Amino acid sequence: MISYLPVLLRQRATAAWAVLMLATVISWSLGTHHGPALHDPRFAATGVIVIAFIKVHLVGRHFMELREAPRALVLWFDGWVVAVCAVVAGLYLWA
Amino acid sequence: MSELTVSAATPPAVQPAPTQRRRIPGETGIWVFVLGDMVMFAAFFGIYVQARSQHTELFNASQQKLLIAFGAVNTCLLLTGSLFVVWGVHAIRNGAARFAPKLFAAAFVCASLFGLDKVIEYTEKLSVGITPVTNPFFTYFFMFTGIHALHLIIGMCVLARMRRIALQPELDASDMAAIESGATYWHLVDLLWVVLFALLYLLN
Amino acid sequence: MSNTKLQLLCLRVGGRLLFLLFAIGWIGFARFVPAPSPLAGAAEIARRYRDNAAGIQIGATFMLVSFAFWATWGSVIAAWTKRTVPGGQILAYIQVVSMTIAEMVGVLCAFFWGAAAFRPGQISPEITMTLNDMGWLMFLIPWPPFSMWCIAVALAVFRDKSDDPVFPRWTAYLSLLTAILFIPAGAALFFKEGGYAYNGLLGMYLPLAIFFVWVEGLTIAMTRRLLREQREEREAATLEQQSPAGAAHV
Repeated sequence: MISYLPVLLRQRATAAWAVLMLATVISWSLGTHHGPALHDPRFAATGVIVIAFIKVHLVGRHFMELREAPRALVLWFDGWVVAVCAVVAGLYLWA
Repeated sequence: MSELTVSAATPPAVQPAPTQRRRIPGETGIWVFVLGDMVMFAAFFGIYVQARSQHTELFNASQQKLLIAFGAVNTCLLLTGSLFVVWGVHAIRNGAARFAPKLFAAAFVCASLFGLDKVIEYTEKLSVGITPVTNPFFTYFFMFTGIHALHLIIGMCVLARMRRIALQPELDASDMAAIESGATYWHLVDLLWVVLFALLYLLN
Repeated sequence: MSNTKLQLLCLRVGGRLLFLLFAIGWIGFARFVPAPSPLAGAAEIARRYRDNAAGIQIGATFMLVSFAFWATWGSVIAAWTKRTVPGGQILAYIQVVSMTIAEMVGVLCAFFWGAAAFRPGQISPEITMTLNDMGWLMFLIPWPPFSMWCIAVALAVFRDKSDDPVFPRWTAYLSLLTAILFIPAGAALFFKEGGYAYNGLLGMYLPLAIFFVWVEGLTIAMTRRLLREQREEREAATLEQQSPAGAAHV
């Protein structure tokens, strides 16, 4: 297995995983305000929401093989990502 | 995994999917389930944020009682589990099927650790008197994470089955479909948690 | 009538009548869309029942009749399960028991709503409110047998290894999705407002809608097969008549 590891590490999915882990840390810091001091706390919260849905998109694209899926399916999935992100952010900001 | 014992190292009967052809991973039906489940959770998310805006003080105060570390560690566990699953599927497609069972087992371990973490978290809450009926925030918290935990338990069964299939010396097309469908389901469990973590633990 | 015709009758007619009669009763007469809010006070609920007492009584009667057709519809699926699928006997039993409870659940909620409309205004409003609550909670919180019914059907479809299966595999995934979408109905016990209450989107409307989507999905798939079998039977019968010696060519 050790010999196979380099192949696995070079996968796109592995890079995506690294980005996802980083995004998790970033949103953790945004959520606890340990990150950069921002004038409006709603900024951080919106950031948290948007990052979460970007992560979902990445999981779909690189883990769920949507890069090679029929466009209709990709449209459904990414449509969900955009729509739900918009609704959640919208409700947070304006409800 | 010793290189010497690979007697069943025959290449799988399934050819690697050419990247030009567009195909649905796994069975089409699993996506009926996945998309439908995503729609249900979308409604959950909307209702939660709506309720939050009506009881903002209460939700913020209650959220302080959550240990974000639990949520963050859980997110990392599921993301890593997903990576192992992706690696396992890749291994099978590229003539290294013998590694797949170990990789799926590793994903299973990640899932188990998530489960353990959840148990610890729930127990801790209950021990300080916080229950699903303490206040609306905690009703949502326990309900959403509970339904997600149910998905996770099902996911663990799916991973175990994927590992069993991958142990076979030869995999045919229906085995491959089963593994891909299972992988798709597993990634669903992952992505739902990503949003739950953000909304329940981080949003304030 | 032939076996196929009986199944078609039970499935297609039964499957459609169970919607139609329920809709007439629940929406048309009882006017439960929009559903009353759990937060409405006793006086308001009592008034609603008093003003529409006849409607709710008639509506409850229609609903009670509609539930009888779940038996006809569900039995066609259960019988198919038993004869076609390996291990089908067990799965068929699970379906039959689950649908029995489901039917009983339906009957009881119509019963409570009807009882609430039996003498509204003559009894304390709190009693009317409680009977109303009992109807709605009975409608929703016993979701597990419904989910079990769906799971048993899903398992049957997955286990069907015949060359030309009656149910395409996506119906199994639809059944699993339906089973999961029933779960939020259980939240109706914990919420009195918002999406999970008994007048809420996830607590009531979605589980109700998905149930009918599921029933209709299975009805369509099985009807297609039954109609084809019926056509084949007719063709076989005509051929037999035409052949003078009536030779058995089975």
